[in-house]
Amino acid sequence: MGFDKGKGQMVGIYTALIGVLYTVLGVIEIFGWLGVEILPRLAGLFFVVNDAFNGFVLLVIGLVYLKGVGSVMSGEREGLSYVSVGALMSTVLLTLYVANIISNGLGLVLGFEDWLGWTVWDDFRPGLILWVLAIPAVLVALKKEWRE
Amino acid sequence: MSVQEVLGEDPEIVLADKRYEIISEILEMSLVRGRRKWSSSDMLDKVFLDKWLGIPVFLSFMWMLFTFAIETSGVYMTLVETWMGWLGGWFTWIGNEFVVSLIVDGVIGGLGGVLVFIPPIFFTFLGISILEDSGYMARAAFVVDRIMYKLGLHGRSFIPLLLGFGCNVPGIMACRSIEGENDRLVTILVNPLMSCGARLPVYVLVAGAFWSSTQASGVVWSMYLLGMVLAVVIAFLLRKTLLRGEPAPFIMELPPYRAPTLHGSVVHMWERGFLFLKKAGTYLLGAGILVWFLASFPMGAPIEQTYAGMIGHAVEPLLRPLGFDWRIGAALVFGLLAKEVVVEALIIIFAVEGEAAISATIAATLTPIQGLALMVFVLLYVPCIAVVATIKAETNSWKWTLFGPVYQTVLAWIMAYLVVVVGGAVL
Repeated sequence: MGFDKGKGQMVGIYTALIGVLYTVLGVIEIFGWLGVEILPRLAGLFFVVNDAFNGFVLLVIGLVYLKGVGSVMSGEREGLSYVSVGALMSTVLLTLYVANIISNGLGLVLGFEDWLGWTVWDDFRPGLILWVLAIPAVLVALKKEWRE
Repeated sequence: MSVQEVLGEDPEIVLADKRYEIISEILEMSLVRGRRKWSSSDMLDKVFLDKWLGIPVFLSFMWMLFTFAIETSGVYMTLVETWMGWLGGWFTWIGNEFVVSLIVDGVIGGLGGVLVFIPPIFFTFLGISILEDSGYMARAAFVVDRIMYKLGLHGRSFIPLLLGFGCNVPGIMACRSIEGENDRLVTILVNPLMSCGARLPVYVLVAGAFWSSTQASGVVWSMYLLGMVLAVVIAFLLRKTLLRGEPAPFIMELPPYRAPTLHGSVVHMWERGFLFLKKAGTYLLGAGILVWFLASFPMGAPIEQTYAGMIGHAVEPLLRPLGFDWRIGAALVFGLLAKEVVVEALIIIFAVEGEAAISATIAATLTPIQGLALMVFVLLYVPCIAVVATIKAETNSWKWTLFGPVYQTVLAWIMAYLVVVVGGAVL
């Protein structure tokens, strides 16, 4: 069963862009952890912290998005599964970062020594900005009409 | 000729196929189908059960779980520690030095050192509850079974192994549901390799001593991963040597996905967390007092000449190649009571107060590689006495009861030594 091909191509192109961004930033994180700096300007723009594990998760999310691109473009609804799970994982990662920011903010408010120099920028991670860019994918995933 | 040879396939699979065939026939006769909806469950299963992406997605969720548990809990740990420090200071009004030492060093220092880890333990349980309540864990079992089956573990082993993340005792008891003596024995013997909640305080303490909270959560995640990988490898080796045979296939009906509720997940977290609190209030309290006693007597002797010092010096030659001195050796011996006691013992033996102080002491005593080796050793070495007693009860065999702790300790030593040698060569 499929859906409108025009819509599918639009969603597919956008998913490909998001998938590539997640994948590239994941690779940058992993290589950064290994001491190899690649695309430093992009890394700086997305607050890359050179954490291999974080990079692995970004890479997996990117691959989930990318695996769905072909089938979404050709109007197969199965492809939307990948967009939906990619959006779900992006959102769980965002929730994790937000919980961390709130928790560290509490440390600052309570005046604990280790948190005195903390700023919200310390906890900025690529997953935060990428989620904002992935909002259209999240909205696609939430649309019930795809499942009819 | 066996039933399997006649059918040419495992009878359980043939039965399941037949059962679903009959169900389909009845449905065809009795149901008027409308246009089938592409449900949310279908969408999610397409990816979560994907042959290539299923396992990386599972590992990603596990990393998110430990990052949530460790990074987010830092503030709350400091909060508990501050409160413990205040409580310790309050008892100094008691004039008797011996009683003050017992309360402040033994009870508050030792037990308080473990209570500091309540936030990450509760957060871990909350994360696991959310994954279970959503229906995802059943999918994880399905995905992991593909590898486990190939390497000799029964599909039903996943649930006991998963329970082992909380505590190995219920994990081993859950092996009763596994048919086939060899399947059950293999799962019982590898269950203690699954990192239980009691080891978490040790990981958080040691990883926090050497790495930033972001890196520490990744290091802790890798400990859980190492435990899972080694469980599968050891199961494979046991299947090829002592417990030969093919495992039975796994047939499982996947529950529908549900949005986890805050109330439900918090209740499940509390049910698991309460067991830890109960253990802390009874067993760990007693263990703390015992360690304090052994580290304080003979009265007035320097720490290395106390009973704890003697125990530590006795095991030191075995642990020296790993870079652990007698103090860490003694703490590891006390860890046989329960793994959290390793932290209690370190605080009492190093005579420091609070998580920050013991963290700094660990960082000054060990190199990061030795710290990593210590975590690997704690993950793998002989399980606590409660687990050993459960292995005896469930196998009804002294042979397997002794085999488990012995192979684990040998494995722990080899793996920790590899970490020291390979890590030393690389860094």
